[in-house]
Amino acid sequence: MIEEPDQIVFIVDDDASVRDALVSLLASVGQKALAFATPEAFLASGCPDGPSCVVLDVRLPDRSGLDVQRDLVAAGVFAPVIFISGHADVPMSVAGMKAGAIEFLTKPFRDQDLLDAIQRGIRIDRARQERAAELEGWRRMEAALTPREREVMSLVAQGHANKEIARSLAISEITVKVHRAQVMRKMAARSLPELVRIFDRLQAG
Amino acid sequence: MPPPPDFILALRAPTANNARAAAAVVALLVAGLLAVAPFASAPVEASEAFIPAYATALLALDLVAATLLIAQFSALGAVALLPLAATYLFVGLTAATWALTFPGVFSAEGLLGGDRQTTAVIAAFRRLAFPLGVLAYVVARRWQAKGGPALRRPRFLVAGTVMIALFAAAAVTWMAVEMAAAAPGFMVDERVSTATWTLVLWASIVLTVAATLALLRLELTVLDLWLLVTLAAFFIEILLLGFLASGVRLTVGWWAGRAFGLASTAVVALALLAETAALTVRAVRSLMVENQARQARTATLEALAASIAHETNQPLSAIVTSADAAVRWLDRPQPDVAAARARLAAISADGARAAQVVTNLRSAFGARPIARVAVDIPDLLRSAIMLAGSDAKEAGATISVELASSLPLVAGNPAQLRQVLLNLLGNAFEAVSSARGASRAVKVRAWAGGDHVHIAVSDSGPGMSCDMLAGAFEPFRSTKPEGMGLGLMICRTIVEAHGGRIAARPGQGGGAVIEFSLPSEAPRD
Repeated sequence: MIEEPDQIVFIVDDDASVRDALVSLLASVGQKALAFATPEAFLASGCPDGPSCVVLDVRLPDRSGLDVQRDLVAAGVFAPVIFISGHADVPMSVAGMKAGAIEFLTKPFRDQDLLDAIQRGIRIDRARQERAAELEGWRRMEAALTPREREVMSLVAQGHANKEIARSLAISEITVKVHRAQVMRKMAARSLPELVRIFDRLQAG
Repeated sequence: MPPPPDFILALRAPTANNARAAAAVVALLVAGLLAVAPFASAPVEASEAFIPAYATALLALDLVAATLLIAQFSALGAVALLPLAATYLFVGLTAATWALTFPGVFSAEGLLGGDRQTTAVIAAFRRLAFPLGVLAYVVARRWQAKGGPALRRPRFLVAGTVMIALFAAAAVTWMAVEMAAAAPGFMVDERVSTATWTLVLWASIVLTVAATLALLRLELTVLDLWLLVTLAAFFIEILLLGFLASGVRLTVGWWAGRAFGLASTAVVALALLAETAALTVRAVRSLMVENQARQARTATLEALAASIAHETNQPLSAIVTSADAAVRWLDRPQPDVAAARARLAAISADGARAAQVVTNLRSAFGARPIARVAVDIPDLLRSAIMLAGSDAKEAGATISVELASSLPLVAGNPAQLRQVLLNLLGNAFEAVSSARGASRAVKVRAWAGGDHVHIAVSDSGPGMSCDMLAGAFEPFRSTKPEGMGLGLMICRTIVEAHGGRIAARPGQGGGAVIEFSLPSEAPRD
């Protein structure tokens, strides 16, 4: 199951036996795991760097796992969550899935079910991290544009022809073409559709 | 716990305050008698006009008293109250016909026809009926104390009581009107009575004294105390009407006697009314308290079940995961025996932990002794059925009760035994509510057999299969979508803790019967 050495699973369960057993199970398939008794201890350990996912016991002593999941998001932990519960009922699992959990397992669960869910979670998290990294790159590139180039990119991405852009910015069409070439180079866009896609992603945040 | 039934007028022993109040009323009556005596034979002119008002007041008060006595009978099943209710009803109704036939009130000859004897004939029956009714009550009380009749169909008993009183009142009035000519001459004219009338009064006095003595030999209740006061007023009324007023109507003594009679009837009716109001308030309150307790118990049980599930599920879940991990450590290209061994050790520890949870649970619940008192099975059934009333209504079920006439007491914990009954009734209601169209009957029977009291709850529901019957008392065997499957298991635990047995069997005409027996205490004296 190991795909990348820095991928990690976080386990939050108040029961020490369950924690130890889970850590050992993951270790037996070469997966690094860190276990915490409380969500506070997990949050205090700092945000994970590599792709990760969280295995969260729904029935923690103080608060419900659903609340904890909300706290994780609030603290900037976007790793996918797998709920494990000793007494899952249908409304609870529905609520968990709606809140963004990728899997809801009832204890005791089949080890393969958990491992599959973890693998899926990590894949989702890796994709998320890659997209985030890509976006971060584009942000940096966008920052290198001049104000005029940013205007030109915006108009080009919205589908305006060079002539229209020249008219609305009160510059010559030649100048628009120069700006546009600069934008394509600085944003590392190989084609107009790619530039449009990058622009949309930047707009979406 | 519902409050013991000793707050009810018909059952409660009088307090010193009750006795003082009764004595004070009697003293007032005697003082009134003495005050009126010198003027007793003075006529009160044109006082016929007051007779309708007097009769209306009497009718209203007697109806109130009769209604409340019937209500107390319905609540308590005390059959002795019925003859008393019938008497009050009869006396009230005949007060109306007495006034209607009174010469010179509605018409010179009385409204219903007849002659001047008619009113006196009705009066004679009324004079005799009241002490006779009290005597009937005393006899019924003694009968009831000996174990009493099996109480079946209380509604018919009430209807019968009312019918008898109505019929008697109608018959007496008809007779007085139609056969007045054949009656012994009670009246010389519209006002003055004969010596024959005085014989009636003597008979009434003898009956009143007999009723008073009979009442005094009973174990007195508050109701009896007020009946004694009423008898005293009745006695004084006769003295005033018949003797001090020289048997002449519409005199000071005659009216004073009427007033005393009315006052004593009012005392009984108002005492009953106050008691009934208080009873209703208390019944509602106790029902609310009991419902809250029931809800709390259910909530506690659910929380307990959830916590047991959690406590045992955690080690079990750890065991499963550890075993899976151990297999994976051994399945590796280079098996990691040390890691697998560590998992096996963890499995052993978690297994011990799960067992400890069960042990703790057993010691928490098994070792508690239960407080035992003498439990009256009919009382227990009544309170359980009262509590289950709203559930029965919801299920559209009709409950019938069949009690053997004298059941021995049972040593036990009333709250726990009531819980058994409530669980069984609840199951029965649920069983019959699924029966489509067919009758939704739930029957509770109790009888004594050997040295046990047997109680059976049967229903007309779909019944149970052999499998269901065999496993009915095992935990978590619910056939209900929301059931925990603990109800019958709890019943069995409680019954067996009381030294009894519980069993399920198919009913004779379909449905299911759950029967349990409890060892009886000493036989009832």
